[in-house]
Amino acid sequence: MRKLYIATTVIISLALVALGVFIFYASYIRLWEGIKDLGNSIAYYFCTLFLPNKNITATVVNRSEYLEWDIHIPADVYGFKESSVSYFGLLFSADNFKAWGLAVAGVLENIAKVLLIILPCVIIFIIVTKILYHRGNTRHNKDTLPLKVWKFIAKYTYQPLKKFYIGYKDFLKRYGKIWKIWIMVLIFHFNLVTIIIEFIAFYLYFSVSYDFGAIYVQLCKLVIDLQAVLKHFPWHTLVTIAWLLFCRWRKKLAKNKLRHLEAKNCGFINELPIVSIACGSMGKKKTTLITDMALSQEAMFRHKALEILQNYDMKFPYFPWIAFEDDIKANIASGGIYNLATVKEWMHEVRTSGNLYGYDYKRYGIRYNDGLKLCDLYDALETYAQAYFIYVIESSLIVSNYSIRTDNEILDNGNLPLWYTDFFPDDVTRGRHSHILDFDTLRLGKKVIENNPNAGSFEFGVIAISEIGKERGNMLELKEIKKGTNETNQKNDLFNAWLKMCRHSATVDNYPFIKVFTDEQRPESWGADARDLCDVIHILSTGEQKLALPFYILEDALSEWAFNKFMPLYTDMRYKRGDNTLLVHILKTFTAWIWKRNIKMYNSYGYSELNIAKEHGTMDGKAEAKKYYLMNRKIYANRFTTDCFSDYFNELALSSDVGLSDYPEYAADKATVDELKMQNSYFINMLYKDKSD
Amino acid sequence: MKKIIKIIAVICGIVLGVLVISYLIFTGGQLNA
Repeated sequence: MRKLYIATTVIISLALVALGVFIFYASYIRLWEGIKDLGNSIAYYFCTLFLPNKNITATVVNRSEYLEWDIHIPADVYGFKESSVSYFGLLFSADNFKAWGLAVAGVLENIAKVLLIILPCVIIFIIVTKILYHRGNTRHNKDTLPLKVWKFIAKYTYQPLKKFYIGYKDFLKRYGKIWKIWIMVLIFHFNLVTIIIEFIAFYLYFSVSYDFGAIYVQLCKLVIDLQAVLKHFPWHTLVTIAWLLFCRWRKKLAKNKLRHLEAKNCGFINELPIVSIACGSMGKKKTTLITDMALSQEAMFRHKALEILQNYDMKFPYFPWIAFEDDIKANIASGGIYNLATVKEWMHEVRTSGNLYGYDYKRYGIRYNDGLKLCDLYDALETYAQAYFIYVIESSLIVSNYSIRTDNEILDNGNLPLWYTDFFPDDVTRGRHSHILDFDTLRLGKKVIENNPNAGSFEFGVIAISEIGKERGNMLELKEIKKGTNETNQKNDLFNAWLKMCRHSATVDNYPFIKVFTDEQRPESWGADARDLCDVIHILSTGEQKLALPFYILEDALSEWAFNKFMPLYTDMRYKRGDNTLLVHILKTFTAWIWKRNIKMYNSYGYSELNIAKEHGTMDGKAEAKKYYLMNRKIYANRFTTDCFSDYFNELALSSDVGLSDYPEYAADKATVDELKMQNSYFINMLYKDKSD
Repeated sequence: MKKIIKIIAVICGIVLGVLVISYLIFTGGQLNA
């Protein structure tokens, strides 16, 4: 196959050369003219500036001597003005409008004739297929004869071509230089290089001459130079290229809109206190909301850490920060630094040793006055080291009681690493998962595991806890639990104390690198002592799916129409027949393609609005109406599973030998006494118990 | 309903656009003829 790819590459390259020699040769003659114009303009520019006595005439203002004026363009501005007057005169003339009407009617007549010929054929086709496919069968997964013929032809025509196309595309991706050279050659063929050279030549001429009259000639030359592209491409090729460029443009618009919505979400998250609880009934997307907020917060923490690094860099602009960073990296690699506390300890050693990494403090100073206080270099280094540690740590910053996938990527050339935190990349990413939340790390009092090695280790990050009320309970549920028992419980583990003080371990440069997102169906399910610290986010409703992609309404309607038309036909065929038919094969291929394209568009550029009401955890104030945007590409790209505790129920179901179909059914419309007793209901049992008493 | 109105509006817009462009091109052709 590789030899075939190489042969194809050689053939395409030779074809491009042949095109240059036989079709686009005029572009190269124009290129030579352009180079001469450029040389002349450079001479004109410098002579006008430095040798005013030397008289040079710029050739860039002249028309091309070689390229003919195939397009009717007036020779000068005055001719253009006259032609414009005539054009607009004709545009509003009744005779011209009538002539155009006749021309349009002629085209419509031809279309109508074609339709009249096609229409009976379509009707006959529908009748014949109905007759042919009317008879049912149970020949499971057997192909009909027409389908066998179709597959046979496709096997030796379409399939090898498709396989070759995909393989060759990968080959070109692997050897990127090939297609880059082709594009360069095409740029020369299409006269685009001449246009750039002529522009530079005219710019040099105009910047010293201010000859406004020459601009018109340049525009004419531009139109004539573009002839190379317009003349040699059929209209349908130009329309296809225009369509592809249009699609690219609207996708860019859509991504910008999604990024704008993400920025709005970040604004909402920044308004929240350190702890928040999302509430709503089942299926209201509570866990989706806290997952989305955790993902955004993680990206914001990285950005904030970088911002701190940049600010401190500016405070001591001549400090060799890269040498300092290398030392931090070496200590992280050796295991000397693994959390913020060890950073502070290590900085104490640096301070004691007086190491300044070659910084010339006598020349540049060791203190910075910010107008409020004097900032010492070592204090700045300590903050910088902490922010750097948070920034470079190559793992998720999310710690959660369910799995969340993040796909932030670190880009490292050996200098300052950069985080790629875009939630809307073009390709599917693998990413990594959040850390398992060990609740003992959040307990300041008794721990579930005595001497738990993880205890006390949590300093900074994003914590996401789903169903917090079931974990922590409220006053009513904890009524029977005593604080003084030996066992660890919600009353003696001092989790709430940690919640109130958690920002102390996570603050770097006065910014708390900690946020706790929780969810529960009712806010009251979580004890008031903790809940009062939160903002409660009530999810009122989830809006419809919207699309950020503009001008997609017709394609959307076409996809919906094709799907809705095909599905009843397909279901009917599946009910009647067990074999595979050609009609269904072709229709299914087309419908599946258009349906998959539509799904991809909605997955990539779709979003929905959550209508939420935010109130204080004390729940005694007025709720504020807010909106939060759930972008499909961000939150549904395998981020989490909505059935995060399903394995528990799976295990229960596996231990049972009974399924839904094994449950006894009611014999009639009214349940019998025996049937009622089979419910094992407290109420029914109570009724019959009373009766037996 | 809103979606159907939108679709009709878009189709009308496209048809109108094609007619206007064809008229502009036709007039240009008449001028050069």
